[in-house]
Amino acid sequence: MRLSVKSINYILSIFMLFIFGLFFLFSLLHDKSTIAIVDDFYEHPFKVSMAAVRMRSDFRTMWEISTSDVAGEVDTANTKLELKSLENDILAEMDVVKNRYLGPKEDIENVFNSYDQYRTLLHTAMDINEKKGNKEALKYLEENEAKEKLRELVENSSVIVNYAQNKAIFFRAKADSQLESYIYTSLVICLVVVGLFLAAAFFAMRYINKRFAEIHDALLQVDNGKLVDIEVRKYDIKEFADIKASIAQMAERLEGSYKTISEQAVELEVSLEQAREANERMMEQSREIEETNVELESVNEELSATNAAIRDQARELHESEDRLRESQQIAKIGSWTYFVEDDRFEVSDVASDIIGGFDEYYAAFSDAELLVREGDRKFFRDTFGAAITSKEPFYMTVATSSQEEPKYLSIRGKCVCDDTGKVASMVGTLQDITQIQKANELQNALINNNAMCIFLASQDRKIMKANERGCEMFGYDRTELEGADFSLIHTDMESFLAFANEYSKLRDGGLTNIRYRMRKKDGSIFWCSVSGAPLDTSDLSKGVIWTLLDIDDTVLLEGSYKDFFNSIQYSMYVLDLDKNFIEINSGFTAMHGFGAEEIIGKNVIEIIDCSKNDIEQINRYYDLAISGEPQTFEFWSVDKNGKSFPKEVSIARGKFVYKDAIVTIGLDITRQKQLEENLQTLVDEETRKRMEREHMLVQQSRLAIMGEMISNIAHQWRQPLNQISVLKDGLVDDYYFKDLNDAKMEHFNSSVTENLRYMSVTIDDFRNFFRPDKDKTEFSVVESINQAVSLVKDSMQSLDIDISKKFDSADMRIFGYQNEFAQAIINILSNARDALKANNDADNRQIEIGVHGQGGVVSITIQDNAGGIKSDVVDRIFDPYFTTKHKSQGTGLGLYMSKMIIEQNLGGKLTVANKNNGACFLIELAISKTGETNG
Amino acid sequence: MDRAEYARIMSKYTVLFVDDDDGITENLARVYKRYFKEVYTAANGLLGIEQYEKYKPDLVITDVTMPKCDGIKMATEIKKADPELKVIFSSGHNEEDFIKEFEKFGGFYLTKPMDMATLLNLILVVLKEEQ
Repeated sequence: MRLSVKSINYILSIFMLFIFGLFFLFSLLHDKSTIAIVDDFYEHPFKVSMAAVRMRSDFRTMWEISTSDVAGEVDTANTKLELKSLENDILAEMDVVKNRYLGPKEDIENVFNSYDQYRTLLHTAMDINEKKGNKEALKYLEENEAKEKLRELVENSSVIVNYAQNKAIFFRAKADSQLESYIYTSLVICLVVVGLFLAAAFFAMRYINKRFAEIHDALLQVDNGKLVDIEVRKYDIKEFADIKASIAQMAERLEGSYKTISEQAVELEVSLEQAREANERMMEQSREIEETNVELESVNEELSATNAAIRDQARELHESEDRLRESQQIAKIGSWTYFVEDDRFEVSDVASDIIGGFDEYYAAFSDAELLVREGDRKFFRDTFGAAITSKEPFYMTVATSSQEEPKYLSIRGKCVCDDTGKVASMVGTLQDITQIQKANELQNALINNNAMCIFLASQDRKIMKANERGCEMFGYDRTELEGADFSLIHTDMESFLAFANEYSKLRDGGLTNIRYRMRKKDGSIFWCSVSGAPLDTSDLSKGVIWTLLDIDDTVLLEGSYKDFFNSIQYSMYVLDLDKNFIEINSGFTAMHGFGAEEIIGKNVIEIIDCSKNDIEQINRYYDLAISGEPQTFEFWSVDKNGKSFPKEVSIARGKFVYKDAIVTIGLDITRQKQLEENLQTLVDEETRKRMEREHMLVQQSRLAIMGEMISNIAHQWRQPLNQISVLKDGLVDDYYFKDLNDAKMEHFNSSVTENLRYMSVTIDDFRNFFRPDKDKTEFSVVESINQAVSLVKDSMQSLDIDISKKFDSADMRIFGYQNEFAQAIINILSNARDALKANNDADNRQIEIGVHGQGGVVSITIQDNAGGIKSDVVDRIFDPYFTTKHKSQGTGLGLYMSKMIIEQNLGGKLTVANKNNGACFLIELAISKTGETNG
Repeated sequence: MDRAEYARIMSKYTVLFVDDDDGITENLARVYKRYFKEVYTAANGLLGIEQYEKYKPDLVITDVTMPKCDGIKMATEIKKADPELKVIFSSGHNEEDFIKEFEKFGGFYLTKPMDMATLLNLILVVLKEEQ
């Protein structure tokens, strides 16, 4: 769309008006809203606060007025008037406050109520004053606590004053901030408007410039003599004036041109007249020439008559020649005569037919030459020249120069000499051999446009003929090849001589595809596939046709694949789908000893040790591979000598020489198997050693425990033994003193029995403890701990060690060997005992055992107060043979055994930490579920 | 020497048995009442010291390993106040560990369980009544 400058102006004006309108509107709104804010948010609360302040001071004034009046110092009537106006003021102020107060309603009510009371009080006092005197009035005021009421009123109004003042201050601040934000907003809007205006002005200027440029271009074109359709508008007045001036100039110029053309037209008219006159003259001359011509024609007729006579005379001669001509026509052999002196050819009809261009029966040599194809002309000329010089008969084949289809002419000729021996004429025949020639060309094309190199060889191994491909292949010119010895293209003399053998094979009908290396002219050697066939098997002297094909690429490719195939150290072989060998690599030969000629065509069963393999399984692997799933498996293979060895093969269906086949890659894994076996032996050996070591540890630990237990038994038995001993002494003593009676015997018997029973139980406990656990059982943790504690309690007691127990529940059960668990506990208790003995006074030795179950786990804590484990040994206390004690006391196996029992045999966790001024061992075990005990 | 003769000699003396096993002290007291003028008992070293100070017995027969205050400690304590203390130690085991200590108090000791005949003889030796 094209916008005119004028419309732009209009739009701009409207836009500016719109902007100013907006701005004006905004200022108006802005102004009005500011007033509203000040009024609403500032003035009102301010007014309220002022009114409240006034009201409060009015209350006070009321008191002063009324009390002074009551005191009788002032005129009562006047006072009443004053009070009335004051009350009016108060009412007006109260009205303001009531309507605009934003605080709680009850504030207002409070003031109103106390004001009412107070006012009534004052009025009553005034009345009393009037009626009974001021003393009564003062008394009344005092009695009714008027001063108190006033204070209350002032206080109540102070509430309103404070609230209203606070509100006023708050709204003042709010109004200020509002004003500030309005000022910023209007500033931003003004800036935006100015920016928009500038942008609009910029774009308008740009458009106007562009428009001027267009007009300027148009004027330039008009100036160059072109009429341009340009819109010129009213407002483009200045430009229009310019255009007008330009057009006027142009009109002037056109007028000038017209004048010149008119002048030239006059000149041309004059010239035309002159030409017309000249033409008339020429036509006259032409008529004269025509007349002369008629005369000439009559002369010519006379000459024709003479000519006819001559022809009659010649007819006889022609008739005798007819027979010859006919025979020539049948044979399509034309004859020709060339008269050297006259430089003129005469040709027979047949010849004329053949060459086509010889309508006249004679022609000069130069004419004849033109009939010959350009390329053959020199040859044609030279042959004639040579024949004239040598006087020998000649033969040549040339092609005609005919555009469409050249004919091939066989030309024979000889010289006819006159008496002086000079060549007078030449006679000869002319034959159309185009058909023969075409057949030859086809043959040549067949021979030359062949990918094969074709050589015709003589019996003495010379190249008689070579086709173009042959020249190209070896890089020689035909002239270089033809007539050369075959040694030219052999790599060396040796190869050339060796090839002689091949000739002897030719009698049997030919050779195919012998691979031979040949040499090019540039010395490069390449592979050829050579085939040979004698022209006549019975007579090699007739020549041999050799065809050679460059198969260098193929041989290289084949060779590289073969080399690659054989370079692979794995045994590789290809089977057909009946599992017969098609191809093997040298890796296979190395592994199995079979050469290609020995194995190819045989079944794969030849290399499978039938006595050691599941043949059906192997067949299944092959079936799967044939169906398209590659397989890898191990089997026992045999080599040529019947030696069996393990082999791993990967088999997959693939292609070999375009046929489906099974491609196999195999590896002798004898060594690998041995390594595996050795490794297994090593692992077994290590495992056995480790188990032995552990067994030994268990043994040692059990011995250590045994010693410990015997010491415990000694402690347990000491008391009953002593008891029995004392009892026995008493009995013996009674006997000596003849003081025995039934009661004493009874006491002795029961006491000794009791002690013996206790000893028996004790020894049973220990025996049970030492009896190896046969089966894993589900047992109570608490019971088991009690058992362990009972075994060591005397030994603990003798050292004043106090064992306390904190059991959450008695019913937690775990699954395993119960005595082992008890042993683990005893070992930890013994460790605590030794630590306490070493580090603590006898009156402060504590061991606390806690059992706590949560979330399927039972936690057993064994806490002593022996000061804890030293930080430098804390990491090693579970190591076997680690002990801080003297050799006689510790083996260093106790805690190690505990750890083994808890972690390996019971699948739990045993850890230690220092806390509460001692070591705290923590055992965590899974609480068993009923199912596991039966399983 | 028959038992009556022992009783005759020993009936001039008083004795204190100290042992943490109540059953033993009770039975000992019952048996030796026949021999001594008076038999006192105590269940540990501290009580032994109390009893000694109270009754000043002529002889103390005490266990070695006892809770709170063992026999040697008790003897050491008593000997500070009364160097004339006569004491026989009885120990359940490992008496070798204490021989050096026993020397300080005359080196009289017996291994538990005590044989009565041996003890009676030893008592006479300690009381210097053996002739």
